[in-house]
Amino acid sequence: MQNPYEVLGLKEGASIEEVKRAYRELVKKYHPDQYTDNPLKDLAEEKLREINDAYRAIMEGETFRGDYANDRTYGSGNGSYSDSNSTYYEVINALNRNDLYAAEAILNRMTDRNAQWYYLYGHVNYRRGRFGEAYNCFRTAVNMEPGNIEYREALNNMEMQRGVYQGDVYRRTMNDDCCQTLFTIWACDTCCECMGGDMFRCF
Amino acid sequence: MFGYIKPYKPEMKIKDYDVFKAYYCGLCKEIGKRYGEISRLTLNYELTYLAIFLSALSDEEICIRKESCVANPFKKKPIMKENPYIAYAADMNTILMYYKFLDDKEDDKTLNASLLELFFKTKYRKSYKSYSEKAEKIKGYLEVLKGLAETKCSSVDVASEPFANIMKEVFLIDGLKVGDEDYAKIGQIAYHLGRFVYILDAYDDLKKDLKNGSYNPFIYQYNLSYDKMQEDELKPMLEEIKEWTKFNLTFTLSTIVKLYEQLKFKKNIGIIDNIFRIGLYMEFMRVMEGDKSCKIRTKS
Repeated sequence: MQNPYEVLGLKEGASIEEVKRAYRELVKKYHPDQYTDNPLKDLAEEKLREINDAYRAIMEGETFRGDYANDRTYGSGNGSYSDSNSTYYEVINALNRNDLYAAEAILNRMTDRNAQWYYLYGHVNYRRGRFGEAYNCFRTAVNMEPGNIEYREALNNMEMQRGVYQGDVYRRTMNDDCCQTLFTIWACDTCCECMGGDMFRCF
Repeated sequence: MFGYIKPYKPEMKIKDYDVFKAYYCGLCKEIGKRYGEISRLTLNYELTYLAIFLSALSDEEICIRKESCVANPFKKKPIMKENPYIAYAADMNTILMYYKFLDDKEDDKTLNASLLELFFKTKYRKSYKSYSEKAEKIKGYLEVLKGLAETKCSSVDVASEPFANIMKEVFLIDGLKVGDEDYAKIGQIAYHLGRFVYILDAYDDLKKDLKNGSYNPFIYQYNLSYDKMQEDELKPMLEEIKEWTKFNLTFTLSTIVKLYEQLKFKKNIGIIDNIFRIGLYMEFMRVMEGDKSCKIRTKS
């Protein structure tokens, strides 16, 4: 895969704000709606996919790094939290290495299960393809700490992907104008026949 | 097996439908030719889709001929001939069916299941010889599946994993000419398809299993019990299960589509597109909401 920062036209180490801004602008630029009946449509879709992948790659990495940074400041003034914080750090590390089994094993050993525990366990489940479990974990994390943006974002991302897919199915199946057209023809034909003409000959 | 993987006919082009039928009939004939007429009864949509999917990724020559068959003796129909992926699907069909009958035999010990098992044993041996490594792996996953049922696994997602792995094993045919990345994606698509089929089937069987006392992961994930729970207590639980399953499986389908969009298919694109983007979802909604949710039911 290409360097995700380069895909978004940024230098490595750009801030989250810059990443988000660049992402929003690029999505607007390459959105398929701008390219209807345009020969470049396929190209734009391809580009949009790259942009989405790059954004996801950065955000996933950032989420984990960000969590850790928050934790350290959170735990430093309070001795009793430091143990679980260093354990969470191990989990985040394992997730960054994509070592899901290690991450899961560490989490399973922990008895103190707070919002962050559910959030991280949700990520493990997500990457292992256990989407139902991941959804439950993210929901629990959000319920336990409704103010946390990271947890909410994880849940929203899942709900959004699902929504996009469902919208696509409906778009493909529900908006056929075929019945409408047939009805119009039938109506016209009936009128014509009343007046002695015939638009479509009867069989 | 299940029959959840099939196209949504009202949105299908007639040319695509004809090709779909040609694969279906081709596989049916292949199974009949190799393993005798009775084996044909085991044919299902999942394996037809396997042949269509693998064939779509390859450059093999297509040969369609019009022939009549037992089901339609007077009308000749287009049939896919001499296709290596149909042959492969027939082998996989036999291996899976044999394990199914073996399992049935252990379960209910009826004469029927024993006879079928005995009958399929010889057919199975032929397919086993060509794909012994795959057959052994599939057997391994079936053991895991059985273990999870015995220990009453209380996670639907976890319980679906052995079956997902079987699907992956079946789809990843040796010698497919694609790059490593695409190969991994094909494996993931198959894995998620397996998850989808297993969970949908478990959901579909939930009420029956609850009554019979058979294992079903939903029962243990939601602590259901038929005797202790009253109807009115069960109802909100079932509603919750429905919502959760809807989310889980729609998300699974969205993941499949995302992976599918990254693959390059050489043919059968209309059929595959219909199944991934519409067919799976429609079949899923039919199970979740009943027949009336679909405007026109695909004839099966």
